[in-house]
Amino acid sequence: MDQQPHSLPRWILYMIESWVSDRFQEELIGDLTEYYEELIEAKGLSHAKAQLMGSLFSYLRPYFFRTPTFSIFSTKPLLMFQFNSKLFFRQLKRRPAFSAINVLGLSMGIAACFFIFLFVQDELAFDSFHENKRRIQRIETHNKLPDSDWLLSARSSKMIAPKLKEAYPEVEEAVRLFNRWEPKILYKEQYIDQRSFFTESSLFSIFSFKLLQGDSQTCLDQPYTAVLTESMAKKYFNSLEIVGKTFEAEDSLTFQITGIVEDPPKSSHIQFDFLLSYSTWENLRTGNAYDWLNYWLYTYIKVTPETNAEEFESRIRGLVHDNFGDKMGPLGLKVNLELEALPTIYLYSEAEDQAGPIGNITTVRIFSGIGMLLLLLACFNFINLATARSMDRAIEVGIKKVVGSSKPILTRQFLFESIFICLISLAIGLALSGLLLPLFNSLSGKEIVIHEAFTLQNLLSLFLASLGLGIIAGAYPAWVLSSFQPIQTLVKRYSSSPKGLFLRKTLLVCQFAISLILIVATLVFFRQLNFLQQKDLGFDKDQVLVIQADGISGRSFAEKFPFYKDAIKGNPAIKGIAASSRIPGAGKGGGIMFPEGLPKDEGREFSYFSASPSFVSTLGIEILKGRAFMPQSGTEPSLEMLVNEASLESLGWELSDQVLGKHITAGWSGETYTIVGVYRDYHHISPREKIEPNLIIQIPSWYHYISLKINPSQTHEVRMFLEKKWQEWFPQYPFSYFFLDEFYNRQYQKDLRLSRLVAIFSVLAIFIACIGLFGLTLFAFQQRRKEIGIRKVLGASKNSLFYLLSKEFMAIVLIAFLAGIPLSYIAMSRWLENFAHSIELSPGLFFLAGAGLFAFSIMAIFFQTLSATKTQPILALRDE
Amino acid sequence: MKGTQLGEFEELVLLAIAILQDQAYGLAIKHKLHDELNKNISIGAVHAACNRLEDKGFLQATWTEATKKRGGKRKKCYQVTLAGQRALEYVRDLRQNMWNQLPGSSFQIAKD
Repeated sequence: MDQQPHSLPRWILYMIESWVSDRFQEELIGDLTEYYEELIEAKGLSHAKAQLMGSLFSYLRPYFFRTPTFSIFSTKPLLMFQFNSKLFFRQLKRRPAFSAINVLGLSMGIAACFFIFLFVQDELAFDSFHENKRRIQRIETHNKLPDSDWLLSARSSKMIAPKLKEAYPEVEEAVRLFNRWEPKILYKEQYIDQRSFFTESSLFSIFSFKLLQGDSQTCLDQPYTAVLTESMAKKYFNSLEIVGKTFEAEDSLTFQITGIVEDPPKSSHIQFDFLLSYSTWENLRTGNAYDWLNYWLYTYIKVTPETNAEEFESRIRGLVHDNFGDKMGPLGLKVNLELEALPTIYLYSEAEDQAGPIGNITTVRIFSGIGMLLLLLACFNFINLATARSMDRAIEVGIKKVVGSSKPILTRQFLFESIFICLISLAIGLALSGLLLPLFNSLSGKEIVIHEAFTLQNLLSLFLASLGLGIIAGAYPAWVLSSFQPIQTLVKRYSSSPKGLFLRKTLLVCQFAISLILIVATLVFFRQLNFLQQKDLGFDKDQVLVIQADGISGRSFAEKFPFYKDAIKGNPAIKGIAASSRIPGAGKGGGIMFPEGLPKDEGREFSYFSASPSFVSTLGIEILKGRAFMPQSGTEPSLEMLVNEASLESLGWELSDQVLGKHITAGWSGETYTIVGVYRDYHHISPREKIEPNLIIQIPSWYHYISLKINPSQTHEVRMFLEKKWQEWFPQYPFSYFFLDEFYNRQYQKDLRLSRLVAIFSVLAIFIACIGLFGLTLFAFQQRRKEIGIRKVLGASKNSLFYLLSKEFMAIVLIAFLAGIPLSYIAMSRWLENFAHSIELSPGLFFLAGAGLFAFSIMAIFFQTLSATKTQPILALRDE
Repeated sequence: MKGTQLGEFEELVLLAIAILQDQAYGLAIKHKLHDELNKNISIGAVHAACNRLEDKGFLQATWTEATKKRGGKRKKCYQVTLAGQRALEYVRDLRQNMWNQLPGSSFQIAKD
């Protein structure tokens, strides 16, 4: 019977070797081999394998188990360490390009991951410095006007805090923070803008802001008292011994300093320079019967440790209604209170009108994902390069085994090498990230300083992570290398197994597919942002200066606005002046309206705002039918109305002169308005939102913003002029303004920053993938030197050689391209769903990304292919 | 008698080895038991039993030449030792003795 028997599957042998004691092994393996052969004959290969696996379980009994020998201690560790490191450095030297690629790829991956780690850590650590963070809750107001959507505001009424503290024993402390008005500080006869809150002493017993001087129990109790941050004290007084001193502020207020507080940490969502006593604010303003419904300030409470937040929330939900229900009824208002736990405010809160900077959990998730991908890419590189080199080291393994080395010893040696490479990469990666930290800060908008980044804890976890990385990435190559049979490596010419080749190709495909996804994401991010920014808003936002008058009461502004307008309209650089209740093209708000022709009491939802007659012409909004408002004097509202195309569509009305003269009754007052004009749709809420049915009416007492179309060459003069006139007419109010186009651009800053970072990381990903490819081609050509030489001798042309050498790698890139397209399509169309108006995912986009991928990979292999085809055949063939 | 206790399975393995004579190695024992008991015995159980019996001194083993058929491994063949023979005889005698004491009517009641 000369037939070669099937040998047992390797993993079964491996299992047996790993747990069965040596003294049983020969008998078991012999019998099992025979048994396996019988099974194959009787039942076929796959059945035999299954049955063999079943019998493997029958060896799972303690009787067979090997007693652990801790062979790690059996060889002299120090000697082996010296020996291994010597071999390791020789290896590094023998293939410098190879080693450099390996280390470079890994260290870039580590640096990038470190940055992402810092970013995510910073985002997650927001507000975590407060000792009582688990017990602090913010009261948010969920309110609903009749027939409009629920709105969640981060602010609440000033009545809430005292009421909660008085009536609910689980509320230990409550504090109010008001910043609707931040008084300017008088310094060297100039008013200076500072961030301030009117607040109460209980702030210090709830939050962990550190009071350096002053009494934390009482410092903000008296009216006209203030606490300064340390840096403000230094800025204005050049000293920290200032308790008892005074300073002046806007509206001829004088504050006495009662304390100094440490600057709020960057990771606080409450940021301030000055804390002013809340009682000051109470003194300044007159009470209002509707205070329960004025959501003006932030309320934070500290509850007792045993309080269940959800249960407590359900009890206070109706607090406003319980106390003010009788007056709310006629208004048709609904108000619920909600709790937002302090640790979730920064990343998760969805409320409008936040107290400070707000992060986004999606961004954190996107970045964590990218970080993982990058590390994965670097790992793949590592595995690829290590297994590709296995042929190189086969002879070494063979000889070592012949002189008595064993598999575990060799495995340990190779693992040691990969861990060592990881640690070198870690050192380089850390140096890189130290150098690039300022760049990262400017790109991400973070302010991470070097000693915050390189904390002992971070370094330790990085060290452990790269140790883990070395073990994970090194395990497979080590296993492959150490299981070479000496006979095969020494006698035959050993070539890499098809399995290893397949693995390498698969990993390469994954790398390039990931790179493709990142390229597509970058392209889509930028195109979408560009699209939003370039998008025709339907009105002219350029050269428009907007003056904010939202601190002034509507009626007094309406009275003075015509005078101010008269005072400035003579200036030739001002081409248009308009007032409106909203920033042009921004802001939501509306209610139910009753258009004619519908059954009685059947209303429709409309958004609306108030604007002066010149609003349409100043912002270049096109009137399609009818006319704009007639200019009128006085502050009386007119009963004329402009509607947009979307309104007509929602009502099923044709765009014709028939529309003019139709009536719509306002839900808020019951007055009936007459349509005098139809204007072309423009983005009246935000470029991101759909255009909704909108009405423009003319109620001067609603005005809060003045929009001015100005001549761009005289911006500075006009601004000075406007401010001078403003101080004549509104002397007690600060002149604050912005340019409309900048206002829109600001909305994109965050997105722009995000996409810039994604772009950088995707370039990095491509780079890592490409150096992997570079290494593999380098290796493949060295293997095929003789083949190329012979081909050249036999007359192969450079072109045909080039084709021969690159087709394999191009096929890999092509497969990656085909695999990456559907994945990136799915991911990107999900992202684009967040926008009402988005770009199309055109095939061109994917081809562009694919072309980029090909270009990069051709670059990676081009020079080597070229030099391989140029080498003199004699150089390759003469030895041996 | 200490050291002569045989489990039921061990007894069967010992008997199978005695029957097989010089062809008594793991797989053959497994097949023999399969034929006799008409029930699949796991090879692991056979190996465990054989080696335990060897430890107890009821079996001794000889190694044959390595063959290709066995993937280059030698075959471990077992022979029953004198102690093994004694143990088998003891069990058989014990049972026989007890059977002999059985009155004729013992199984009548159970049959009803």
